[in-house]
Amino acid sequence: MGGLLARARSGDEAGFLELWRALQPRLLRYLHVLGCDDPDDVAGETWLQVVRDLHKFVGADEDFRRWLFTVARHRAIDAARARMRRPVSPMADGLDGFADGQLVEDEVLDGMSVKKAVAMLAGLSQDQAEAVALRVIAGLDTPSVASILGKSPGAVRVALHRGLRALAADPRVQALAADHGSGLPGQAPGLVAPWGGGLNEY
Amino acid sequence: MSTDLPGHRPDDLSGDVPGEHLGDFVSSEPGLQALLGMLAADATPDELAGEGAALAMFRASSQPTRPFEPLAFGPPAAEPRFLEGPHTPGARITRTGAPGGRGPRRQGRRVGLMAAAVTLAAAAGFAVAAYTEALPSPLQQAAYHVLGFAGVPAAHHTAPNATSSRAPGKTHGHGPSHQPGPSASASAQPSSSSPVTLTGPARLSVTAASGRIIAGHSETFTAQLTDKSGGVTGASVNLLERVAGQKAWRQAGTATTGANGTAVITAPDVTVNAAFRVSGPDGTLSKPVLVIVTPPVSARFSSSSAMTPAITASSPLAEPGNTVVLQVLAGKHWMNVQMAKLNGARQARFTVRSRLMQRRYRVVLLPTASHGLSVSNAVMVPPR
Repeated sequence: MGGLLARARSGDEAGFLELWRALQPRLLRYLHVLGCDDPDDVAGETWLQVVRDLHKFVGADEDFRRWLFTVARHRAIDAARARMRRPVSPMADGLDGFADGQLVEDEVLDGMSVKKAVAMLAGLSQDQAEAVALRVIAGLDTPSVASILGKSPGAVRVALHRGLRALAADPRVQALAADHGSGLPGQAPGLVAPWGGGLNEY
Repeated sequence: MSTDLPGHRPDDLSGDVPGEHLGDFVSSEPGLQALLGMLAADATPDELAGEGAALAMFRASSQPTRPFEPLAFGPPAAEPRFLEGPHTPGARITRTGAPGGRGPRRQGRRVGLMAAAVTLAAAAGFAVAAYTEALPSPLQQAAYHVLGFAGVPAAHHTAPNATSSRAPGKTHGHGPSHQPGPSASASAQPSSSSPVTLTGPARLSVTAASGRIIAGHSETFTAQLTDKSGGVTGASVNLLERVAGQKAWRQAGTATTGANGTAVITAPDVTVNAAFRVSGPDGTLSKPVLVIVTPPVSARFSSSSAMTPAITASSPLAEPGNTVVLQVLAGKHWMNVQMAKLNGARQARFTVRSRLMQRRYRVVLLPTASHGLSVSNAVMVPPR
């Protein structure tokens, strides 16, 4: 078991904070991809459960990361179910144009960012988006992703393949190549160390 | 994928599809590379904004329980390797105080927890913050788990700058007995812990009488607490609200369950969209219900020889800058004509032309995070 996880389990605050800093951004991005209304709240519920039961956890880094994202997925599903039971305020006929206009404006103002990259990923079909998110954002291997999603590794590989193909074909993604063209190293930073490089140490 | 990447690393996409190396594919797509790089980029300040709360949660939820693990959770060897498996969606880690967990062992744990919690609180001032509900939501929940028996509100607190969805001090609870809700000032008073004993897993639910109300009107909530034996009578439940735009939950009222475990709490003068939920004994927490508020909007036609005919929209409970749309009835459908923002007086003026035939207009206040869509009365513009 890595150092940070062991330190956190032993009650070491600094160790826990390093663990949290390494995983919280990935957790939030994953929850965004899942379409959570309030990713901060769901992430908070997730960490609350994880911290509460940390002393009962047995496993290594990969197991912990899988557990964390499994809990997050369940909390997100709970939140989505709750949202479905809420009353919805539909727009009146003829007013949709204004809403569309606001979205376009937001898109223009946002520019490309982590937030927008996450939104683009969320635009894939759910199985593709989750497969890519869990592989690239969470940094899990295919068997772990399959375990979380309750699918076979083969199905996850297919979803991942199709998702990446779809993203690559997106004109906005292709435009990124021009924006980043000469500045890109041989490997995308995310592929070299999707979780910021430090997570393997915990 | 380049061969310089370790084959076992999760980022290595090689072999994801038989006969094809996705890593090679990604490498050949600079745009995709850039996108994946963004997805896995370093944390932004926003993403780490909750660090303080996370640390406090860790302190509150982790450290005090450790000395009492055997009492609280039984032999660690009995725990599964993974606590929440993917194929058991409803699975939960056995909750502290699981069915049948009450009795001497639980009491012993409570005594132990109290000692640990008091020590921790004295050292960190944590309890003070918890009592005043000045902690972020997850932290307040953790505080409840640790200090709930000593009167810390169950969850979801009041942020120092949180606003209420209603006028201060106007929350009422109904039932066999109730405490007036705390004023809408930032610090809610701690609620007393419930003396009831739950048997088996408890469930707390809440329903809103309407779910969509006119701004300034009241909404009535019915909470129900049940356990294995049915409705729980005499339990104190807290109505919590989270106003649109706020991340914090605040206490909005308290009541005691009566027959069948139900309690009715009314929140009067609700002027902003808000989510409401109810907390009860032993950390029970209901799912939230959303209440949409519609500010009244009125339309008035004015015309004189000295001024251009106009329709004035007014919505006193909306916010300056909110958008209003003037619509005209064409056949059976309302068509958008003009759009304007409410001024500081919460009014907007639309100039209209009198035509050969009289026309019917109305004004629509577009929804925001704070309120729902609202439609005015119809006004007639006479023919010229």
